[in-house]
Amino acid sequence: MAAQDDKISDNRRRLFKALSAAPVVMTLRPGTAAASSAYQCVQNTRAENYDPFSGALGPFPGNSDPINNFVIENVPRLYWDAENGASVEDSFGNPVSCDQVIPTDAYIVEYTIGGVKRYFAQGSNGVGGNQNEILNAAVVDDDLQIKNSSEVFCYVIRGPSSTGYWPVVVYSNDDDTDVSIRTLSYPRRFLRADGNRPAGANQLINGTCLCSVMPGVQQCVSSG
Amino acid sequence: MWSRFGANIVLEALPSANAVFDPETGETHFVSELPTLVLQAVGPDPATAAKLIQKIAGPVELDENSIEAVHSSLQQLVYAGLVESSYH
Repeated sequence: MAAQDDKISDNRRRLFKALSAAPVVMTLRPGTAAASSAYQCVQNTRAENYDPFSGALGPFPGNSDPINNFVIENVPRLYWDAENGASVEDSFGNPVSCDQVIPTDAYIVEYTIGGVKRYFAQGSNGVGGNQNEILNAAVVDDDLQIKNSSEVFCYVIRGPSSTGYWPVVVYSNDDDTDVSIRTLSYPRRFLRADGNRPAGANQLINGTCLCSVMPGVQQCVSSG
Repeated sequence: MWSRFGANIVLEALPSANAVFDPETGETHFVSELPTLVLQAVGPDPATAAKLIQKIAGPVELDENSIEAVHSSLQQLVYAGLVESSYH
């Protein structure tokens, strides 16, 4: 018990000391090309996040313009290829109707939020495709089985799943009481935030470097 | 609410920051002291920022700026893939 009290006391000292400095988390990803300098890193960030509609480069890290800000978490997720999908048939050989149409060129990506596995349809038609489509689904024997609103399995995508890097955008309100997920069509790597800058959107990770974009901080490190 | 699942991370103290290796992703994160303390307090059971602060330092009262710094740390850990934010 005394040891536990000592640890709490030590942690309290560490906490109050740590609160005097800005929190920073930077990530070096394995197997990615090294950027030659922090400046090059910033340029790469802009180039990799260009807006294909206007042709403009993405924002500099540290830009707090709400229109031009976006945050991307590009992390490995399990996914199923809907090309391996088929409707489930009822006892009369008729297909069970689903609430959603699953395009055969879509991927279904698993994303765990708060310990709950959620499944998102990712169309291949770019932004505006099948983003934010949360499916009522479950994994059964490696297959992804999708249910309709009557909780009846209507569509199955044969597994096993694969692992890939999928861009995921996380939005939240100021106190994180309303969090939503937006997934991007692979391999698209940008998003305009439509005027709603995600709270805490202060870090941008891309394939070659990480830039901390905390207010007042413009700092990048390269990986490799 | 915040939580963390998956493989155990490897934490090594460095002079200017702490290095955190995540064996699931192969990524190495350089983390300043505050997010390090917060990360060590996050477990598989979802917890609020207030609960995490209590777990770190016992019953303490923090001002608004300090609480905001803890929230900022949590957000950065989320973007680094080290912590998950619960879905509401």
